Amino acid sequence: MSAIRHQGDLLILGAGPAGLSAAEVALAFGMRVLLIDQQPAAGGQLWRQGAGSPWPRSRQQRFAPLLAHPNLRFLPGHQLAMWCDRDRALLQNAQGEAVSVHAAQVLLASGARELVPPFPGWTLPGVTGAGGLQAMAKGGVDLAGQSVVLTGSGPLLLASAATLSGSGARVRGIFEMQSRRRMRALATRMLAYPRRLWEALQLRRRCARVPYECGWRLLRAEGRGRLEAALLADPNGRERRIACNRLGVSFGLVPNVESAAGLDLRMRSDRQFPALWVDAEQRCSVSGIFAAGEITGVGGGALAELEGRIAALAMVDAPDQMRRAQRARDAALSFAKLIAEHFACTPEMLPNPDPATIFCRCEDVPWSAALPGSHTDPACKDWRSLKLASRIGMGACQGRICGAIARAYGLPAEISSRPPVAPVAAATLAQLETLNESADQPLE
Amino acid sequence: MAATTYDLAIVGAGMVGVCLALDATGAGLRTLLIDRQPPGQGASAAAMGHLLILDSDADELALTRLGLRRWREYGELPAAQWNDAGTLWIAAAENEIGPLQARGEALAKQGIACQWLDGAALAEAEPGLRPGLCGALRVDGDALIYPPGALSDLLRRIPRDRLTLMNDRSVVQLEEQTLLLDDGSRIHAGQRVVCAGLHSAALLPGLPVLPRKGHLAITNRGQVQVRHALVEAGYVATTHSGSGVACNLQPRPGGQLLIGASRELGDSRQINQRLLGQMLARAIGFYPTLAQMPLIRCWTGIRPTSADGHPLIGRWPPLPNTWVAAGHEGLGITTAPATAQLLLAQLLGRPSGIDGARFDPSRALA
Repeated sequence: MSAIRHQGDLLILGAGPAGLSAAEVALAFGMRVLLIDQQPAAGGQLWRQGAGSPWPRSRQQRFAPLLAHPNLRFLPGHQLAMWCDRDRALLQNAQGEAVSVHAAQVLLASGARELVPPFPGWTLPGVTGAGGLQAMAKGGVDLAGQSVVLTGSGPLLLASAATLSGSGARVRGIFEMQSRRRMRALATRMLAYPRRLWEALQLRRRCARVPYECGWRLLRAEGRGRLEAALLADPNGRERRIACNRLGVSFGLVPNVESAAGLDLRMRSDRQFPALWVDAEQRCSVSGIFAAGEITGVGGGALAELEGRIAALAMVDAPDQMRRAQRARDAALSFAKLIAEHFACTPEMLPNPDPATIFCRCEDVPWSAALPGSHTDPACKDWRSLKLASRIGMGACQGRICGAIARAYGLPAEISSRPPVAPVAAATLAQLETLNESADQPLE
Repeated sequence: MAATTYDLAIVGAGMVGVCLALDATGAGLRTLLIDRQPPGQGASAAAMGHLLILDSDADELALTRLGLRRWREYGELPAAQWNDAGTLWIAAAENEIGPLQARGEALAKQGIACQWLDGAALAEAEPGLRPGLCGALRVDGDALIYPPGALSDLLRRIPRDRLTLMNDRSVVQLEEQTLLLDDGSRIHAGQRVVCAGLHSAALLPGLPVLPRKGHLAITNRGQVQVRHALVEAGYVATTHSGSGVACNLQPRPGGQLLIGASRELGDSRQINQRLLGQMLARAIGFYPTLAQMPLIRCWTGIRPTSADGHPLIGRWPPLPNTWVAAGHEGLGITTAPATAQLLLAQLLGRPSGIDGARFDPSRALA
């Protein structure tokens, strides 16, 4: 069995707002596009479509023709295994077959994932990410009548509440960690962005009856074998027990930079979580590679759309359109900054795990193994030592989950550069034997 | 900075350095264990953790055998994930049966417990192996460990009043009486042992150690019920050749399968994609259901090897009071306790229990 091969002018990794917008421009300029996504349908996290939520008409009309375009090959359900070279990647499709893709230009638009920090009870069935819960609802999982608590910090909580309310779940409340004063200040500053404010109000209207509480803290989840209640502290520090069978937690978004592993790209140093460095035209530090959307720093869907557009325009050389898109991007960036400032998640807002709380769920490593100074081995002062001694980050996620958590708590963490990017079958990687004529040449 | 004096300075905190520090402090020596990085992060972390008897010659057999015996004498090593798996040396072709059986007889004569499994017995012992294999030699006493865990277990046993651990300093030069460190300070030590992997050659010019790169891959948990370390008979041949791949599969706790092995000269950590692909294809050839098992990680490790394939253990004549342990390649973990015993005996002028003449580093200077 040999690998399936596809070739194009542009390889786009991620069919969310950034990837789709880039594809739109690239196709208009006659490029042959390979559009890859690990999900079964286009849309990414933000524009996720599923049994429970088809795309709105306007989006359908905009992107359905694009996905059917003769110059576009959409490869849904394809997982990136590794970059074989800066213009070639090995993937695995939903049937488990190896797929090799090759294109002179590459756009990395693989988005972000939510940060769900550990707290006592977080491994109980019924506890998920807030975005994960929203994705379930969009995917058609029946949540009608379910009692839901959403907590953490960030605009994702409101979006999840809107979706969940629409799917018949009883959302008991949004419990935001940021203070009421800070949220009021944000609302005032949003007056300068009427379109964004209107979008936020639309979301709020869809879950108008859900209380939106500020200044709370997440303490723990309780239940025998399954979630029964969330315990939170109100702004006065009083412990409150809220019965629920779903707890959606999100403390912000973490860029999916793992999809660039092996490409040796420059990273931004100004973010809590690593993001890819790009220039004003979305170029990465290696020629021929572009990045757009959350992977370059979390900024929301509108910004991602513009960045995807700019990246494609940079490839086709369209200066007038580029200038317009860049102006719009600058406005979107300033809004993204406003959101980032007001939802900045400090370590004090994060829940406190018990020493016995599982930290690394792949390898069942407890929090006590990671606490600074708690480890009996005096050598554990960096991520590698911690990994070797406790096996944190050595499991299936290879540190994608626990590494981001460690970083949120100010512990050292490095991003794994070891392939595969996500688990793939041994047979897929065995294809490397014959796939690469230039395999011995290192990446530039 | 005032110079500090030690009876023994061990340069390199890998498995050999830690085993030696344990023995030396046990013998009452004030010991310094120095490395530029935390213990066990060099070749020791790149090893598969297969404790095995190898018998290419009588000296290799003696060293691996002593190593295994001493590993067992260490007793409880809670983080080592010890697994008395035994090794199955698999004959894939008819012409591999004879040599393997002869090897089994030779080992048995030496008192090493082993037995021959024919094709049917092999299939019964490891049902996941490809049908039609010719048989296997089972070496019962071989074991599997997680080297970083074993290393930290041993390190914890060392009394802290006798050991100084420095893991952020590099030794840049061995002077007549002192060690010069990268911050310009000097350390006085009565004796010094260099077991710093590839870095050893920088400290001891003329020491014939070469970087040999190996690839490893590991599956997700819950994948297999492999009982033994599964190694194809041809594996030994690849250990003595320049480059190549061989099937070497080892069960890890939780149903993970650790997959090796490849060998090539070179000190680049870069994955050689073609060789990794070959290694995986080779492993799948022996264990077909591996094809669909998810791999979570592939990586490379550099293992220092010697020019003639035998480790260098003993006095390094060009410098006074200087000893070396280098070039163990794939046997470094197995033989670390034996290497430590041999070195300490030589250092103290006591009998070592095995003949170390074959490993005498002065052969490199001839």
